[in-house]
Amino acid sequence: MSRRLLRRLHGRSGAILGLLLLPLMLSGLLLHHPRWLGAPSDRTLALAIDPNDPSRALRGREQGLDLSEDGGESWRELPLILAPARCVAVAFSPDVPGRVHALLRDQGLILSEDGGLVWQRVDLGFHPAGEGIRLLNLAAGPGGRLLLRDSRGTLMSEDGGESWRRVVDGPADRASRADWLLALHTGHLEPTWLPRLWEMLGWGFLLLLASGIVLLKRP
Amino acid sequence: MRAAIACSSPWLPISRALAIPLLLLAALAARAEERVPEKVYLDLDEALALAFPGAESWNRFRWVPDAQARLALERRLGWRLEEREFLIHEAVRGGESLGRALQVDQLGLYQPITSLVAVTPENSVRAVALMVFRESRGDAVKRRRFLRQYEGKTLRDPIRLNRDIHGITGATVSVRSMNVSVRKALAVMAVFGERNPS
Repeated sequence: MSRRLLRRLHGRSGAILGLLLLPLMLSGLLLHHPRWLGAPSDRTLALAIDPNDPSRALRGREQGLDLSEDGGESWRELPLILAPARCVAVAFSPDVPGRVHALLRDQGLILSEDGGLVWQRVDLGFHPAGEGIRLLNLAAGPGGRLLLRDSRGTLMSEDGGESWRRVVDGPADRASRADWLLALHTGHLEPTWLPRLWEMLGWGFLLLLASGIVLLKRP
Repeated sequence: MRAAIACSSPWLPISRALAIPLLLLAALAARAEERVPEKVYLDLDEALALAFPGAESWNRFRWVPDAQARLALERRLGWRLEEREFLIHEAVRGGESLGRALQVDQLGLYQPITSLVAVTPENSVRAVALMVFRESRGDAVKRRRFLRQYEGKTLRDPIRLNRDIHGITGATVSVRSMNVSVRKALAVMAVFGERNPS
């Protein structure tokens, strides 16, 4: 096989592979810049009705927390100073009127004693975002009992959230490994510099591909 | 001869290729271990002068909100207030108020971020300045381009990440903390202003 033929084969297969890799690189760049995609996702993640007052309901969304005071006919966003993000669970106390907990996946657990108008943070003994722990689900029972599922296992409180103990210390969820890979893909595994490095590599790859295609056309 | 064999070893380019990621990982681990020094960008006087360059004198109010004011504040913020009192600075020129400013310490991830929020007499944001940063990452919120986004905001604006405030990669927690500081300062100044008109 002549050198020229080998070179041409190398150039064309490189261009084809580059084009196939293009969607991967572009999707990575878009994940770095969510605002290029327009409004962020705002799915409903949690819904709960107050067992002591069925006209009152709370709805947790990707980007906020809503209150209904007419049994779910209409909703208004609660103007919380702490912008609640990824509210994955809402749990009304079955025996304390007005007491409700909301679980924010990365921001922690918050509590309201007046049905959702004024909130405060509940100390879990760790920082979910700082320690890479994801809060996943929450249930409230009578007598101040709370069960909270996170990416490391299950926590229980028997005093309305004053103190917590870990009751299941199982292995990390399978989902958390996928999340770890996603964090590696987007660079958020080390959010200070890795996204910038990934971004530079992405733009570098685009440049390489464009220059490679230009050079391919030359004899 | 041994050197020649070593140089032609196929493992050499592989080990060279691995050296950079390993060094990066080592640097990352070292960075995680290091203690983070407090970064002071502005003291209070400098921040006030920056927010109100034309001020001739200052009125200072140590405001301890009563139960009614606390309730009003908490309802506006949707959040239980931890502060017992607020020190409010009013800039004056020619006997007229230029606006008021509040120093806010708001929790970032582990440590409070200290900033100054200055508002106009109409209670819209005039300027925001980062004073002290104590976290290991996220100090990009000190950038002028980022802080300028708050100018003109009022309590009617969402002041939320990805809505009316553009985030900074790697500084999400700090951006959220700055948003909370601005909303808190606007609410405090609004309730204070209702009870103490200029």
